Amino acid sequence: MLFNSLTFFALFLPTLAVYWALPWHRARLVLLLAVSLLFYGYHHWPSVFLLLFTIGFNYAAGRHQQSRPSRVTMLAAVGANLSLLLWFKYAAFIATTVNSLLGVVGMNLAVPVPPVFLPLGISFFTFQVVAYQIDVYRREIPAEPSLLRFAVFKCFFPQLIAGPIVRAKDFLPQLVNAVRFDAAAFHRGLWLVLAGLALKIGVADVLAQFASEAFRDPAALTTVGAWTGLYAYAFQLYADFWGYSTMAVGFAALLGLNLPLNFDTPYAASSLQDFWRRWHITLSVWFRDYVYIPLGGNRHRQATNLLLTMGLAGLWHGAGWTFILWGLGHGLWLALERLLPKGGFFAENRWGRLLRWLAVFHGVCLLWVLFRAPTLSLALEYYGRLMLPPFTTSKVPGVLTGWLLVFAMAQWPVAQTLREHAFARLSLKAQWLLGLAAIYLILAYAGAKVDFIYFTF
Amino acid sequence: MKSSDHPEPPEQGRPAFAGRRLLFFTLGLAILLGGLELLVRRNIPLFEGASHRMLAKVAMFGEQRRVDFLFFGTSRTQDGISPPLVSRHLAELSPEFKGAAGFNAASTGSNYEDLMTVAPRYFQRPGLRAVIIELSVPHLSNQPSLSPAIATHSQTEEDRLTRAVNHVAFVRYRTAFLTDNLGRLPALLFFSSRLSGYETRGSEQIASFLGREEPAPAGFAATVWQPEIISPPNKPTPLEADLEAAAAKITVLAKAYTERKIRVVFSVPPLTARHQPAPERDRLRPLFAEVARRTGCEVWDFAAQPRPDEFFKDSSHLSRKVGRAHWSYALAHQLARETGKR
Repeated sequence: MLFNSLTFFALFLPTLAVYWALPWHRARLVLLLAVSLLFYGYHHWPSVFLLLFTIGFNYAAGRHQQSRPSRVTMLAAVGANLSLLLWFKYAAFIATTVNSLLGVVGMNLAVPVPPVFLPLGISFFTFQVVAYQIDVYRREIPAEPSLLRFAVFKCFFPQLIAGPIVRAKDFLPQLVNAVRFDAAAFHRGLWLVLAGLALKIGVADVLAQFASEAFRDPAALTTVGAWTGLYAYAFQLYADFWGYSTMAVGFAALLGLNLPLNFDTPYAASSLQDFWRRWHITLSVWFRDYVYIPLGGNRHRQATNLLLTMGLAGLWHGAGWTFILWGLGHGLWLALERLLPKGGFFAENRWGRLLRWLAVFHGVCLLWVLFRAPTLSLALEYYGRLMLPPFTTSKVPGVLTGWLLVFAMAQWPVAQTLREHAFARLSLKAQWLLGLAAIYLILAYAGAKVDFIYFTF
Repeated sequence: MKSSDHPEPPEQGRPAFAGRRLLFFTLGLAILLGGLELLVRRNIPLFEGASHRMLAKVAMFGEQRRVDFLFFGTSRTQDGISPPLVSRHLAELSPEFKGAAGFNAASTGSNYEDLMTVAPRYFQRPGLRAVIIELSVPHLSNQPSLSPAIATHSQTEEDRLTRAVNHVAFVRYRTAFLTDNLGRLPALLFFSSRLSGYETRGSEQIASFLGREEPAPAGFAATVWQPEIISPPNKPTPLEADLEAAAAKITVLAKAYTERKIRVVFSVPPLTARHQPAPERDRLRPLFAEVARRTGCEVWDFAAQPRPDEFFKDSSHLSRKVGRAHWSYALAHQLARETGKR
């Protein structure tokens, strides 16, 4: 059940009405839990049992830590969660890699490749509970005493499948007392849902056609075709995930709950460090707090820490060497940035800043090739078309140019309207105009039903 | 003083009168969407027409006050025939045609399957006297893009909901709002009754809207523009498999009109000598003869003799200023002759 499906809205709208009609806080939480399980089970109902198991296990582990705090308990709880992730997401990849290595060294052995089903959103909800267990251990938050509240925190449907990765200290307190209807929050929620849907349907799905075409057969591309295909993918990925996250925050706001925004015009970044402060913010913060800093952070072996953290971030995105290389590429670049003086190779003036922005944007785009290409050889082929002769040109479809330019320009004002209360403070005419523009994009381009990219992670 | 006398200042950045703003925003959007729904419901054929080139012609055709002659074909016919010029010259040739009007229903990508799909929208129109159908390689090879309305009985929840929301007119005809299609809407909504179907450019549409007449072709010579006329032969012509399939399709299409006493003529658009290869000049000739035999209709082959480059904007499309006027006049001559035979 995708956020851009009618089925989802057929579930959400009655839920919203009943939610606000219910006078009892506990009943609202029960409703949220039931709808979350239905939402999750609609895609693959046996996965609900896995979800219920992790709820029960993590609730109990948290309570245990509260009464008898111990590093071993925390590590066991984190290890158990990561083992599930490892099994479901990485077992096949590890087995295939081991088999390849055995083949290379000439050993006639084969590790059986397990036929494992990947439960939806496992990467996201595993990270959420890992953070919870560590925070409880560090005494940053108390273990949640209510199983119902913990279950709602663990599987709150707007953010269950693809984030934002919500921290317990930010979300659980919101579930303690009855939520009062807040017109301003509801207003914002409406706009976030509309804007998110428009980003997904009207931008990401349109650009997806061009990006898919480019990556289907890179050898057939001209140099211009390869670059425009890459730009199309860069903006498709951004609009897709930004749209999804924005909708998630919007649905939560309609229910009176607050989730963090996950994007802040990342392609305007002036350095890669700046990029990661703006792109998938909740994941960046997670890796910073639970991997990078525990590894030593800036204090010692900074470059190694960055490489390790970003390599793991790559692996988190997908079980494949292209993802690992993508992460390592980012890690290496971040490490190099630390070695260079502030501003890098560019002067600290207007032109220098422009050149630095261009370099960061194109560097990020180039690394997206690894992220998008299904195999390493296809990625290399794509790099070849981007940067090696023969340098050839072809006509760029007008729709693609137009869409890229409009989206590139519109991302800033759109991002401004998503901030707290910014939309509601606009004049009514501006609100109607933006609302109609979003509805126009949704209406005209609905029907492609392309899956959200981050659902696969 | 009670605290209620002094309402608390709004939270930092929080809009004042939040409830009222939310109400006005949602009400305003609802009213705007209601207005859009009314607009679409009152102009369903036009919004449907905006979604597809061929349907746009159907919608425009529906807005015409009178249509005697209808031209079907690809961009070769669309660019090459001006119905007002054909009608004007017909009226000059024979008083019988005074007031007769034509409509150019040709469009880029046209094909016989789609023409069959939309045929009922044309042949039910009273007063239609003749239909001129293009025979050419692109008309044979273009792929159908209009799917006949097939009722889907898929039972997934999403399908059922899609069918339900399609009862909202602006949702059902939403493809009219795609950027590629949006450009058709103004002309369709505001002055489609004044267009004759050949106006593909905004400037041409405005000229037709303002009632500007196209000039007659300078130095037109009917003998130079005489087509090779293929009359229905008595003996069948053997055809290769692909041409046999094409002949069957074309025959079905022609009979949809002839069975309703609407005259059908086939025309092969003119080509330049540099248009190579041109199967219209060699490989398709057996098809022309066989189509004529099966339908009992003449084929006017304007491609049999290559025409000078000066009439063309490229090797197969007549120019708007010169070629279109000449071919329109030549067609008027043939229509006058053909109708006079009866």
